[in-house]
This record gives sequence, C-alpha cells and structure tokens, in this order.
Amino acid sequence: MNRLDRLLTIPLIFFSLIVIGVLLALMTQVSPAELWASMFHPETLYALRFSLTTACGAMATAICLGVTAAYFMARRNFPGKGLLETLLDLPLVMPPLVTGVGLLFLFGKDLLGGPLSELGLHIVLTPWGAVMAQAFIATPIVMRSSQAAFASVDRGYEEAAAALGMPPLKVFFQINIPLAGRSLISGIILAWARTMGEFGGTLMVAGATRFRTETLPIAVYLNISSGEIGIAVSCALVLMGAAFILLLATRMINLPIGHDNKGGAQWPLSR
Amino acid sequence: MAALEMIGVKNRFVCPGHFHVDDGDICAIVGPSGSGKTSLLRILVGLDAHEGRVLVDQEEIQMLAPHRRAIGFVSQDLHLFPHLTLEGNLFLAMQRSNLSRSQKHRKARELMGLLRITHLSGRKPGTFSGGEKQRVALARVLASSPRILLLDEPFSKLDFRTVRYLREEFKALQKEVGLTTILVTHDLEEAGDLAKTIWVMRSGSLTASSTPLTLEGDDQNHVDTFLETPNVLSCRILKVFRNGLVQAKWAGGIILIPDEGEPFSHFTIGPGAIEIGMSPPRGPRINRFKGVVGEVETGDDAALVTLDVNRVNVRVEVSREKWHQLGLSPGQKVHGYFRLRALKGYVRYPQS
Repeated sequence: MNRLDRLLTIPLIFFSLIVIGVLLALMTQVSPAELWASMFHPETLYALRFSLTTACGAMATAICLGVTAAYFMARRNFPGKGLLETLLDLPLVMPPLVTGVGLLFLFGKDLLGGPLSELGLHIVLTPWGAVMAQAFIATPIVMRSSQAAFASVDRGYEEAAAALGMPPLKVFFQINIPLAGRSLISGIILAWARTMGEFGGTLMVAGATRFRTETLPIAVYLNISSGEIGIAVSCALVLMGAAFILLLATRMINLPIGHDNKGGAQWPLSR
Repeated sequence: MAALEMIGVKNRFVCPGHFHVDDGDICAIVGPSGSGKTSLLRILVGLDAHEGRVLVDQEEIQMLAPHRRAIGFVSQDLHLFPHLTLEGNLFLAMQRSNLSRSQKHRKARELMGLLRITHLSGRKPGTFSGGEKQRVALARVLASSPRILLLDEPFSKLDFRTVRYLREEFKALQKEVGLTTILVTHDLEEAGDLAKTIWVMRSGSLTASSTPLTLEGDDQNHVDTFLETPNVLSCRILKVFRNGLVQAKWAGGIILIPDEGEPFSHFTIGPGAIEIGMSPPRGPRINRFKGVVGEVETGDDAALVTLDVNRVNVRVEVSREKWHQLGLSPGQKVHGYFRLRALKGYVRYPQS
C-alpha cells in the first residue's frame, strides 16, 4: 500500500466507524434482556406486520405502475419526454413531509377524498394512506431502475420475437421481462427497502396511531416520544436488519443476462 | 408467380420501386453499406413505417403487425433468446401455430435433425459457436413456419471455413424446404453462389435485377463498378500452413489468405472489406498495412478512397458516417486492415 492509498483509507475508516458507532449506540441503549423482550412486544410485532403489509401493497402498486410506465418510456420517444421524466423523478427528491402534505391535500375531502369515500375508500388517516404514501415514494424508484433495465435490453430481441409471430404482450412478458429481470429485481428490492423506512409521507397521510397506522418508523417515533426506548430501539434494529438483508440481496444479484457482446470490431468500422 | 411484391413502397431511407420475388426463389439484394438493404427488410417484416403496398401471394400485408405477417427474419445479430435453451427458442417460435405440445416437440426434433443441432437441445445460446448460432437461428425461423424468409447478411460474422460450409448447408436446406428467400449481402460472390436473381441497391433504390451471371460482366447495368469490383493485388506465396491459411507477401507486407488448395499469384478483396483508420487496429497483428490517401470520391452513401500502398493502388469503401469521422484528405497517412474472410487467392493468372 503506497502513501496515497494509506491517505485514502482514512476517510473510509472514519465513515465506517461512524456507521458502526450508530449501530452500537442503538444497541447499547438498552440491556440485551430488555431488547430481547422488546423484540417480541405486541407493538413491535404489530409494527413489523403492518410495515410488511403496507410495503407489499405499495410495492404491488409501484411495480404495476412503474414497470409498465418504464417500458413505455424506454421504448418510445415523444415530444416533452425529458420534461415528463424530470416531473416523474420529483418524488425522489421531494422532502417526504412535503410529499405527505401534497398527498393529504390530494386525498382530502375537497379533491379526490370526497369521490373516493363515496366509493367506500378512505385514504387519509387509514392504512390505505400508508400504502399510498409508500407507493408514491416507491414508484419512481422502480420506474427509474426498470427504465434503465429495459433500455439495456437490445431491441433486436423483441423485433426478432415479433417476426417469429409473438404478439406484443407475450413479447413483453416472455422476452423483455426475463431479459431485464435481474436489473428489475434489484430496483424493486431497493424500492422495497426505501418503502420500509418511509416516514414523513406516511405520518402526514396515515397519521401516527398506535396499533392502527403504526409502521416500524412510526413505532420508533411514537416510542421515542413516549420514552419507551426498548421498543423504539428494537423497531429501529428490525428496520436496519431488514434493510441490510435487502441491500445484501441486491449485491448478490449479478448482472442481468441478455446483453450479448455483439462481437463487432471496435476498431475502424468503415462499414 | 410472385410470392412477394412491393409496389410504390417508400420511406425516408428507401424507395425500392417495384420489387418482386418468385415463389420458391432465392433472391439476393446486394449493395454498399448504408444503401438501405436492411431498411428494405425491416419494411417487409413490418418493423418500419412506409408508404405503398406489400403483397404476399397477391394479398396486401402492409397493414398487418409484424407478428401477423408470417415473414421470417434472421437479422445480422441473430438475436437468439439468451435466457432460453435451444428448445425454448424453437418452442417460442411456434406460438403462431396451433400445434399441441407433442406436435411442437416433434417439429422441434425434426428441425434440430435437419439443421444437425440436436446435440445442442438443452443448452443456451451463450454456449454455442458462431456456426451453431447461425444454424439455430435458421432452425428457429423455420419453426415459425414463415411464408417468406429474410436473411440479413447471415454469414457476415463467421470465419471463412464456417461460411463455406454453411453456404453449402443452406443450399441443401433450401432445396429441401423450397422457401422463398431474400438474402441481403454486400458480398457479390455470396449472392452469386446462393441466389437465383440478384437485385442491386443504391441510395435506397433497387436499380438492377439480374441473374448472377449477367451481373458480373454487364457494363450496362447500374452496378457501381468501383464498389462491386474487388481489388486484384499481386502477391508471392511464402508458406502454406496446415491450418488452412497461406502466408504471402504483397506490397503492403505479409498477409494471410485462406487456402483454396491452389497456388495463386494475386489475391482479391472487395473495397468494402477493408477497414481503415487513423491509428493501428486493435486485435491480431495480421493483414495490416499502411497507406497514403490518394483520390477521394464522395457518393450518396459512401466515400470511395484510393490508397497508395507502396505504389500499389488499393480501393477502399468508407461509409458516409465513417468518412465524416475520419475527415480524410489526400496525402494523409492511414492504417488499413483486410478482413481475413474476404481475402481470396486469385487463380486466374498462373504463377510465373
């Protein structure tokens, strides 16, 4: 290792220590016995179940909307496409609290809330609100990664499939999805991890009611506020454990198949 | 009877005029790079928008989506589905047919036998050799039961031995299945070898129709002689290798030429089969040379460059895009490279 390498390892070690410090700080707040008991506390288990359920709902919505929209965006060109892409990326950078306020107004009684409640669907301050807020955050993540995944699949495959007699829907499911598959899954896992940790938007739209709209982050917030450090820490650790597993899973997914090296000469192509 | 006809077809790339292929014929379309050969095939498949009428067996098909046209298309890159095995690729191609699962199995077995690829059945395309991929692509397109078969430069990425072998195989296969076929190539020799009729494409228009024999010697047709006539360059054989190559010396240095089993004093190479660039090419250090740019003619699709290689003129075709990229001008020094597969010993003149 040369001097430059040694110098470069300093920030790496510093940041790694900070991350480990945060984890240790969380774990040492309560005794192991209390932490163990808090892990199986009904509130922790409810928050875990609720988080998983709402994340499933949000991800189902995000996949349906994001993957199909991404395919369209990856394959078609139209005027204003860049503008639309920028608009659809906005939820990625919007402060979650602002997202929540926007959703609260949109699904409030004055706008969509009225007609939806006539259909029996109540969004604000209900578990549906949590699903909605999480889906709003997850969809652009799924869409971004899916668009890149579809764009990386050589269009020649779908043209070959069409010429072989496959209708477009079959081409989508039997050619594009499998060829983009691993990149799609990576994006979905990342979106899932982000969804599990969603707080601001969920707080604004679904509220923070114990045993009703209590996701893991909201359980952390509620229990910190009320001094129940054990449950707060156990919920935080569950969240971090889930995130770690999901991130590890994305790492373990290799590069997608279907990107043949076409073998063309790199050097002067006079043809 | 014409199995396929194009009437008044045009889009922004091509305007082929009236074009037809008779039932059961192999028709070749030759022409320089960028002349619109592939665009024409894409129109026939239904992949590109166009005006005019396309008729298959006297029925108009231009309004049909590609999956409803029954026109099989093998592109240059083949596009075998990498996530499926050979059988999976064949099954997928049989979706248009109403065959039962057992019938599909039987048909797949028949095609694998016909193309002699049965040993590959459980394997995925990533493990196939170039020649195997080519045969699999043919089997797959035949599995889709096309009425017309379109082949876009089918042998352009293979080594010369495989090409020679596959051409013979293809001729035998064509005799057996009798499928109306359009073959796009920039290799006039390949076209003459495989096709019954040859059409020449220049600047998006099909400008000549001929049999292979008349095309070669006919000065009155519209074939651009500069592009189509190969360079005939003198050389001296140094060594014959056992691997099917002959080492020879020419004005540009040492060269390797596929061994045709006869001595030769010249070799031929088409202007389109020569690559040129401002820096030495990557890859194997064979068949390279250095030259000085002489005369340059720019056409609609390509630039035609005459290189001075130690006082021997070598004609090179450079695509319009490449021409702009290189910005060639007389007196400039360039590096060149002959594609091995395109080199041929010229046996017409006996060695002195």
